[in-house]
Amino acid sequence: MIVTVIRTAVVYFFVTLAIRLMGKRQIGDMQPNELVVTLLISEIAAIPLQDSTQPVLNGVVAIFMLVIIEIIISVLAMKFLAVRKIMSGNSVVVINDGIIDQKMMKKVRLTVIDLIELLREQGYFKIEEIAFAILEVNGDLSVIEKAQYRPLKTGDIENLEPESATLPIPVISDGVIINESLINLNISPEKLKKIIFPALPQDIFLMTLDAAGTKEIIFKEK
Amino acid sequence: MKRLIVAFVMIIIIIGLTVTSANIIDKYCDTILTLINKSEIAFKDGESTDVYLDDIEDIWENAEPLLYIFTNHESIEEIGVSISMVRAGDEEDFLKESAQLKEKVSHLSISEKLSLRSFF
Repeated sequence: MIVTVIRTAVVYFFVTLAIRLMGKRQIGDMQPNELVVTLLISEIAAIPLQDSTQPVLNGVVAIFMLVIIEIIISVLAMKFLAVRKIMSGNSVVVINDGIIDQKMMKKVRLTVIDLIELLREQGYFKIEEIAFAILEVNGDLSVIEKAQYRPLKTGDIENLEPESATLPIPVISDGVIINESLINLNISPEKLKKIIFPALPQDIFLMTLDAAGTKEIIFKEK
Repeated sequence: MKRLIVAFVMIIIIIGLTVTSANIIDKYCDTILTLINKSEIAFKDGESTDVYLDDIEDIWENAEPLLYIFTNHESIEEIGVSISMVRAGDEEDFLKESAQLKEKVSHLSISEKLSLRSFF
C-alpha cells in the first residue's frame, strides 16, 4: 500500500511538471497534437499506478519523451507555417459575407446542425445576423456579426472619449502582500499600508490596484 | 528558447538513462549467462557447480535492486525464482532448470535492446 502511495505522489509530481513544461495552452484550448499528447500522458501515467510491477522510471521517461516531442513540434510550428499546417490544419470560413459555404462545410464534415449549435454557444440564434463565421482548428467557432447587429461600442459614439483601460493587479491576496505586483506598480509596501490605513494587510482577502490608483478591496469575513 | 533548452536537457538525461540501463542490464545478463554456461559445462564434466551457482547468486543479489529500477519487476522475480530452482533442484533437473534460467536472462537482455522484436 505504501508503494502505491509513493508511486502516486511521484507520478503526480512528474505529470504536473510535464504539463507545466508544455505550456498554458494545454490547460485551455488544444490543438490536435496537443490533445494527443495530453491523452497519452494520462494513459501512461496510470500504468505505474495500476501495475506495481512496472518501473515508475519507464512511465516518467515516456511522459518526458512526449513533452520533448511536443516542445520541438511547437517550436517548429512557430517558426515554419508548413509545420503548423501539417500538425494543426487551417481555420476555415464556413459563413462568408452572410452566406453559408456549403462546400466548405462538407469538406470539414460540419453539419448544419453542428453549425447552429456552435452559433448558439456563442449567443447567436439567427444565422442572418452573422457576417463571417470561422471554424478554428480546435473546433471553436469565431463569429463576426453584420454591422447592424453588432453591439454598440464606445468608439461608435461621436464626441465621447472613454477613459483609457488600466489593468487591475492583485496586490494583497488572502492577507499577504504580493511584492512582485508592488514592484510592477512602483509602490512600496509602506505606501500600500498608508493606502489601506486603518485596515491592515492581514484583514484583506483581496485588493487590486491599477496604475491610475484605482483600488478595490474585499475584506476577510470575520 | 527556454523551453527548447529544457527539452535539450531532458533529451540528454533520457539518453544518459537509456545508455546506463542498457549497460547495466547487458553487464549483469552477460555475466550471469557466462556463469550458467560454465556451470553447465562443469555439470556435464561431472564437476561441482557450486562455485558458479554461488557467484550467480551473489551477482544477482547485487543486480536486483538496480534492475528493479529499469525493467519489469515480474521478469526479475522470475529470474530470482529460477536461480533458486537451479540451486535447490535435483541433479536430474539441473540442465532443464539452467536452460530455463538462461532463456529468462536472455529474454531480459534482448527485450531492452534495439530490435524489431522489441519495437513490435
